[in-house]
Amino acid sequence: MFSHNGKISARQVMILLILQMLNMNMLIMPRIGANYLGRNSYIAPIIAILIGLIYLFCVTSLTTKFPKSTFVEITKELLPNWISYILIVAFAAKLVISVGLELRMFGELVNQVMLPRTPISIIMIVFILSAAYLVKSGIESTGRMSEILIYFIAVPLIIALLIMIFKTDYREVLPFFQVDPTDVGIGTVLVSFMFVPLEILLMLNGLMKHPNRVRKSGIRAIIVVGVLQAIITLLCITQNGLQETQTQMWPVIVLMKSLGMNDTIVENQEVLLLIMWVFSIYMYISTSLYIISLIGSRSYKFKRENVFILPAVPIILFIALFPNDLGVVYSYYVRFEYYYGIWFIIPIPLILVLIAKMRRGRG
Amino acid sequence: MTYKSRQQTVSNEDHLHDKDNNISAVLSESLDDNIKIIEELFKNCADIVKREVKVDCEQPFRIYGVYTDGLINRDILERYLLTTILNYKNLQGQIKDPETTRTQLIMQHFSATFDVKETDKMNDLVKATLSGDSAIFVEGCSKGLIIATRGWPGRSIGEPSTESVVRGPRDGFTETIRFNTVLVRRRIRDTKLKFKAISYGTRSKTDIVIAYIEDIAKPELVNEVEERLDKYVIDAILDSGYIEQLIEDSWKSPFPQTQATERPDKFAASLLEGKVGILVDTSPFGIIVPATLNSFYQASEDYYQRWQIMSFTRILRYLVSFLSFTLPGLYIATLNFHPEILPTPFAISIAASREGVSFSTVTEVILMEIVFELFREAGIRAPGAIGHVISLVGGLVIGQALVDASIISPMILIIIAFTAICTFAVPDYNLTSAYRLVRYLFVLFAAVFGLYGFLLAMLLVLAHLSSLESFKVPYLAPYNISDQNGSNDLKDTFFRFPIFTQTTRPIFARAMQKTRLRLKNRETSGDVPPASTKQGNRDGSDQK
Amino acid sequence: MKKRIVYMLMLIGTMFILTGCWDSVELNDRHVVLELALDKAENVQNKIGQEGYYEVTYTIPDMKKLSGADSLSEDVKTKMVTVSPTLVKSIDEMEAKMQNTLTFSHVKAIVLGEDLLKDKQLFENIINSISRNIDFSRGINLLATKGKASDITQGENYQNPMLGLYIMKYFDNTEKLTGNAKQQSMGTMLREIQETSITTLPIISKTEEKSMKIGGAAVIKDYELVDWLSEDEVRGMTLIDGKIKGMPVVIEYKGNYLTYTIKEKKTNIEFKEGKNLETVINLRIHGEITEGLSAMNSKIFDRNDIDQITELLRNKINEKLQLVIEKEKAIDVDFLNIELALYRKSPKLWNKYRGQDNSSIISNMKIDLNTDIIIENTGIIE
Repeated sequence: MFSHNGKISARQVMILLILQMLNMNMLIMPRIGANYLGRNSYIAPIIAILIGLIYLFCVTSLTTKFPKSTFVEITKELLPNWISYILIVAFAAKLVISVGLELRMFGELVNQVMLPRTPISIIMIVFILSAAYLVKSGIESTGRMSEILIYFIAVPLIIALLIMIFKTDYREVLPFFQVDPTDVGIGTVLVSFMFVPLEILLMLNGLMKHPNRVRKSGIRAIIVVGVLQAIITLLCITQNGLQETQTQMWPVIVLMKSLGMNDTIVENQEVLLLIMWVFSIYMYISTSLYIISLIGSRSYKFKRENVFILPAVPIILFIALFPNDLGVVYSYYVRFEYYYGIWFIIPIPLILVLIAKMRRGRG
Repeated sequence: MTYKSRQQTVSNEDHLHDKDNNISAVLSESLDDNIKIIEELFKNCADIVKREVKVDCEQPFRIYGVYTDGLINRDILERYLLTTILNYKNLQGQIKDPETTRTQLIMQHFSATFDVKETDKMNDLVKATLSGDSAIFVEGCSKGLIIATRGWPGRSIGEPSTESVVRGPRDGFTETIRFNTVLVRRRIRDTKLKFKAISYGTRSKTDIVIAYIEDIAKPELVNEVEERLDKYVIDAILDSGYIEQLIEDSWKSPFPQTQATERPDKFAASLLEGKVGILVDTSPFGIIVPATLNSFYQASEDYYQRWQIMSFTRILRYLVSFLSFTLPGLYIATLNFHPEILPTPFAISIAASREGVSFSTVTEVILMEIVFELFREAGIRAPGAIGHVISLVGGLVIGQALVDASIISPMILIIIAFTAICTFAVPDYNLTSAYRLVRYLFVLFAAVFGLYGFLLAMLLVLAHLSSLESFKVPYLAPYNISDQNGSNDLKDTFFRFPIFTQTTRPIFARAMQKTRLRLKNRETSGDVPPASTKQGNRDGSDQK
Repeated sequence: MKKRIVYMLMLIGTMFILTGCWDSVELNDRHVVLELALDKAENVQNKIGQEGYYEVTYTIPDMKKLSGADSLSEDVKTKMVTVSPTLVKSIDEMEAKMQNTLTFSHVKAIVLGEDLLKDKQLFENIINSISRNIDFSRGINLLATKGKASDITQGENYQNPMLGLYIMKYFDNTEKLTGNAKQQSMGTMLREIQETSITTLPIISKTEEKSMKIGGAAVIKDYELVDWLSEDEVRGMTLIDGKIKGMPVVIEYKGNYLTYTIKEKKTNIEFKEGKNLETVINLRIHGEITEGLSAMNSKIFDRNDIDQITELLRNKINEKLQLVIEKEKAIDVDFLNIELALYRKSPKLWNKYRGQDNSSIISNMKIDLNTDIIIENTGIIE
């Protein structure tokens, strides 16, 4: 039953997707939402779930046509070699840059909140080497680790959220609905970029035990992440106030800092959220690292999938160390996500689906 | 003493032995040849008794008996065989069939015991001699007889020293493999319980028994166990620990991938779940494979008492074992890097207690860890009462003296002592050894990176455990395979659900043999508690 | 080759460890600051001209003495003062005078002096610095004082030598009866200032018996002190916009003093549009009579008596409310957050009545009171 076939189950896919979407984006989202939708920005993630479902539909309509093959094989089958090569390299490059920027943002976060004097490069090197240690054993152990980590992540998160939910003053969200529809539209679309990590389904598809369950996993993951983001945005606005949420770069960190019940075993319950955060980003980086290595190994048709992990690490570190300071990183991150985020989610899968349909129609 | 498995061939071979130290001499028909071979093999072995006896019947012939003094029960040999042979008068005229070989003759007429075998291999006869049976060579026969006469001095069955219970059976395995199989057989009186015997070790030729229940255990697992045992040729097995280390999946990991137990009820319970057990002669520890992390936390007492208290104990066990390897690291991380986590009055008192201490916290922690390990080793090695005194005196008095001399702070003493006690809460000794080592990793990471390092260390340990497997079963099952087997396995992890809910076997068992508990008047299982009203009360009324 | 990589990694690993743990500071190498006193420095002019200097008073506790043991230093706490233009500079100066590092993660209270509160720019700047500094948690209690803050923190307090701990215990005690002062934390104050630019800070003052009293409030608008509120006014304020627990109301009834203790209250502010905008504050109070009834003069109270008592209580409470509403109108600062309630209920109305120059609405607004008192328990055992 437990043969090493390199496949993961549907539940593990769902958890991997959830953890992919719980990345540094989560910390920034309340600010963006608040800038467009003001006090009501907690409805943005809920509406964004619908947009996320569109993303999911686009991606899965491609993958369900080709179960058991990953993006690499699909493009090689549908398109001439040189176009598929460009696409694959673009996908890998996008992932590499995302991971690099994410790693840098995470390093900055840790630097600010936990270890002020430690050089950021050390924080990042140690982190990415630990992530590489996990994925060198293959996707199965990554899947198993995610199933374990979800408990470690969910429990502190729920405890912290419950503490905050009962402590806040909900009058902040009044008055309702003072925004105009265009702002709602733009804000929701921007908020829906938190679902962009769904694109890893393009690669994970070839690794699933039951490829037909991918839609269910995806839907559950989207709903969980959307609801979570809505709750966090709500808490940010009520606890920090609207203006703080709009001006602070990381409103969720400020939210964390305002948690605090004295006379309990642990003062400053921000520690709970930090634990959850480190674990979640760890899974993000290791999964992305694995996907990058998988792209490489599938395109060169290697048997072992972890060949490209160690070579990818220096490239990612270089990208991570490239920007000079936090402001630059932040602007790179936001811009990169908004300009390039959506390519592999909607246009490219849809085009490939069309090509597949045309080919099927012909042949 | 290190016995590395050697694949060399030269040292064992000579004209009587082959490269695996088996006897390659041939059993000849001439008794004198056989006697010569035996004399040569057992030259300078003062404990081997050899004697020639003449059987006086119509055509008298000689027999030659060989046995090891001390290993046999002399009653069987002398009263039931030798006496019969020497009083041959009773058999005059009863030997009718001339076709019967002499060995058959002895088997049929002279040996008043069922357990007699004939064999034509010298290797078997010599091995039997060395194992406590008696070998009989018969003149003019190309076969010899092996008579089961085992009876050596051994430890009687007593309470297992490492796993004692308040409620439950108190018999434990001993060094004799036959007693061990007896204890298991008494608990599972099923023909499908199989004991496969193999002989392992070129010089020790230790008896090893692979125990499994045929229709519950997966055949792939049994085959895998046999294959792995087959892989090495080692010269001696002195304890089941050798076997453990030879068949495990990942030698680099500090975590044990097999379970060792002294309790036959635990052994039998594991067999009933579909696992495979290995019993080794001269070792009171039986091995159970595959072992998952969860199985180390299941003590046999858990199932004999009520579920509430045992669930509480289970949770406590998990919590305490987690603390045992994280607490020193956590202490260093919070104290040195993030004092804001501690409640203010607590932080003040710790800071006060640390005034005047010259060493840094990391140094203190490592120092005290090593001191406690020292005490533990000294306590084990020192004889009898002194050992107890050393552990006690060392722990308390010297610890207090260190505090008074301002070498360590009292908080460290509390933490390390508590950690040391926590290590013993886990029912399995191998696992605690793993935790003792992992603790240093945590301390190292926490000392350099604080809470971030602590979390990274935890992630590394979890990553290691996630990739670890024991005979192809993931080590962290059933936590991370909860969608298989219908989440039934989770009923016996943190909580021990009541016994009537544990109706199916865990993932180790074959798919066909899932149900292990069901209501008598139903074919399928259902979680109906005992004495429930669903079936009506016993006196026929419907009220509760 | 593989071995070489392993050795390289080990080398790098040891390099990390031996270069030192950058952030590791032993706990007894830290000075844990429990409270801060911020004042405006007297008679110091900045070269820039406009800004003044801060006088920051640090109270450095001696940990060993604080937990009862003996130690090398003289006193439980040591006072250190710095005069500097910014907070960071002040910390820098302090580090030069201290053997240990300062840590602010356990600061429980910050006391602000009157002069500082009156200086708008200084106050805003210091609040900004504190809120940016990640060490200060957002739950720090802020208190105002008449006079100099350093007098308060260095003042004698027989209950607890460290003011920070005193304040922490004062506000954390959930069993305590409240109503005298409204707790203000850093995060909440920031939020309130950003929303309405109006906030209140509780006042801490010394009493004659070597103790501290926390009561009353300071009203701040736009980072500037407007006025002080007395304790009665604060009671009225918390009745409208705050938490109440066990606030007593004393009336005279039939020659006896009767105490009614408020257990909980619900406030609802309604707005009516008539000729002008009118406000009705609906207050629903639950409580019980705790004192004043003895078995002697207890004829079991009937409906009439209860009604009378209720009327008296209502008048008394309305008095308090009127007091604070008058005060609000007098200083023309809406610290009762009535305008905020209007904005939340109906932003259109708020926009309509705001006035061209953003002047406040309440100054001319008629505020009616509708107090409903429920006596749950007369406390008499039959």
